[in-house]
Amino acid sequence: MAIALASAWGALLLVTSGCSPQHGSPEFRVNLQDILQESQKATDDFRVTGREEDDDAKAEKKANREKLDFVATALVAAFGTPDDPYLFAEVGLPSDDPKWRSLEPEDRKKRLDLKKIELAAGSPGGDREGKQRGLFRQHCAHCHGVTGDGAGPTAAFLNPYPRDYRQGVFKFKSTERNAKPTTADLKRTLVEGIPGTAMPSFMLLPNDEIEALVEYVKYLSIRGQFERDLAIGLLAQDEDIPKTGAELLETYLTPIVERWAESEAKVVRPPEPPPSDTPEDHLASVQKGRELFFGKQAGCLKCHGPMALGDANDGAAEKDRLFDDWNKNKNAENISLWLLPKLELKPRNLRLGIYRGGRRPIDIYRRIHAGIPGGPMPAGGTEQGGQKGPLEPDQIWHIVNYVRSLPYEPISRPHAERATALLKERN
Amino acid sequence: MFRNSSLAWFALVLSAVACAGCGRRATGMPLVADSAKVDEAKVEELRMTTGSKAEEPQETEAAAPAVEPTEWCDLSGQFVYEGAAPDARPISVTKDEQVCGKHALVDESLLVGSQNGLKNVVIFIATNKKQKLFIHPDYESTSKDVVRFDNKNCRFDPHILPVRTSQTLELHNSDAVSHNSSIEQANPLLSKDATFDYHFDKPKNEPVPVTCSIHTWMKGYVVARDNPYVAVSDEEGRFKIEKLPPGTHEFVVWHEASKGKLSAKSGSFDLKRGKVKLTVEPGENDLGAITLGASAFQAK
Repeated sequence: MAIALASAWGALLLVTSGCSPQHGSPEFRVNLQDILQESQKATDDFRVTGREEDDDAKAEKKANREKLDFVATALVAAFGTPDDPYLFAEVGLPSDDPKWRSLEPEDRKKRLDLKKIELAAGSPGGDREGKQRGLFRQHCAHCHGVTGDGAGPTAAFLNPYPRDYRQGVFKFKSTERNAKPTTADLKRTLVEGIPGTAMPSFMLLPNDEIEALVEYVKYLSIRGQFERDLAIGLLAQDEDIPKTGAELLETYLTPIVERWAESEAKVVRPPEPPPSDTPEDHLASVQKGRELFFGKQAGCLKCHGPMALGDANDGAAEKDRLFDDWNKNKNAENISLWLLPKLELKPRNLRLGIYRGGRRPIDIYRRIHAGIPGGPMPAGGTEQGGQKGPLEPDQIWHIVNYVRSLPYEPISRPHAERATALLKERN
Repeated sequence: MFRNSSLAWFALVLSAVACAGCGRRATGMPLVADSAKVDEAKVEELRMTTGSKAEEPQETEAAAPAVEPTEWCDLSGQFVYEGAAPDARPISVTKDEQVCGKHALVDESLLVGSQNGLKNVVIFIATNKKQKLFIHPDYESTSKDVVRFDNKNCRFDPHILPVRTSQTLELHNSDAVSHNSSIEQANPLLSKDATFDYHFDKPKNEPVPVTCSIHTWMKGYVVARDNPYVAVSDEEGRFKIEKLPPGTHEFVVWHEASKGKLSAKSGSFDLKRGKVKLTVEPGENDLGAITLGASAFQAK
């Protein structure tokens, strides 16, 4: 009897030890895909081949392995783990830290708030005060992945795929094409969601939780870019391994953080649109927009199609189809590194009235002016202080008015038109 | 007896479940990176040293006194494609057929000329941080040039363009139809006769592709380096790099249609995984014909 009890107790201990949360903690996924896309011919340097290798190849592989180890080490040093985030003081501080309060406002804007990141990091659940923790893993990781690589468990079922933050490229924002999104842009994406995709609105979350998630997205994006730059620098461009934290910070991390800090200055603020308060003015603007849309200068119909249905490339061969940056470099040589299958990008069907980046006139203006980074949509406007683009602001506003009128054209609403015609017949 | 055996059975089942629960490790790591080890001590060291200025690396034997050379070298050669020369495949023009269909466009990824000369092989000096690379003073006059990469006849002209980081890359559209030139993160829309200036702040180790999203067959390359020692072979496969400093340099040899990095052995020319060490002496240095086997290239 005593032996049976003891063995049952022992078995119970074994079971519970297997269930300890430490074993269940996820880790960040390593990103090799981007390195290989940067150096499109570099696959052999990383492949574990069974072939006979000469001494040069062996030495190169060994050096690569050391560099890869350093990359993994530097990532933990600079960013910590999913459960335990960390930031260098130059990159981020907790907002209840006296050092944070003693910073100048401009310096504070350049840094991430580690307190918010800690709120969003870790396992989902409540803490001792009953505050929700682990927000990212609870709300976001199933699509965006623990690493923010857009390849969580549900991602494979979605079209378009969830955003991969690690390149620091965000499609729908208010800034110039190669600038980062502002905090307000990211918050807007969370609050409004992205219509036409699987990204829902998180409007019902309390404001501090939304801000914590925005901060965590920036954290993951900066981490991803740092991983990419460090790995490409060391492995594809033969840089030396940095010896101190300061060297690591200055060479690889500070340029990224500075780009994020200057996003506010790069917001696209167009001049006032030409007057279209009266129906005549508005219709004239729509007509001008129509001419520009189908004209040679802007060339919108080349991708969006002669009926603006986004069907210009339908039925085309694979090489004539369009892909966004996350998919365009997937080919047979690097197939073992694909996290998700290659997915085509179709130009937007403009007659549906669903605009992923927002349906306000200013949102559509920004899509045309800066294009969509990470995708084939080009920048048509003139960048602030930059060179002249082919489209003047007035012309872009006319195209905006035309595009916004498209869903209301009779041909876009066949059911409504049919219903109207039937009603007329009856009366 | 009965009670003991059922309890023992229960304990056995429990321990089987426990063993399944033990020893679980994090999942989803790719094979190569699985072995990437995090050095905890180094983590601490990196975190502790973010404030310190990096000490200047001790100048070891790499700090050979840098003496400007008085004589300069020319390097030339001819890349030859070994095997039956494939015909250039025509491109099916799917957009703007009235304008682009007139020019008999071909796939330019593998162009083999008469006498089997291989076109568009890029050769440039690999980046070597440890050794100063002297640039001939004649190149100073062109260091701030504006170099044009043109959308012409619905193809990029030239197909591969070398540009220095001190120069300005001018994307231009000579065609009547609009193009856009997607290069790195930029993608400006270019109407007829429009230009867009682009600058590289750092040299790139591989040629950077440029594409057009309207005319998806269009693909060209820009070789962005910080020195002028870049050559692209012509229709005969011939190339020439002029006014190099004498000594031993490592060169990168690249071709867009190669499967992985190029390897070739031709006499003393030993190209391994895209890199070859060459010694150049003052005057002419002719490598002669360098044969690149057909198996190194993939038919697109």
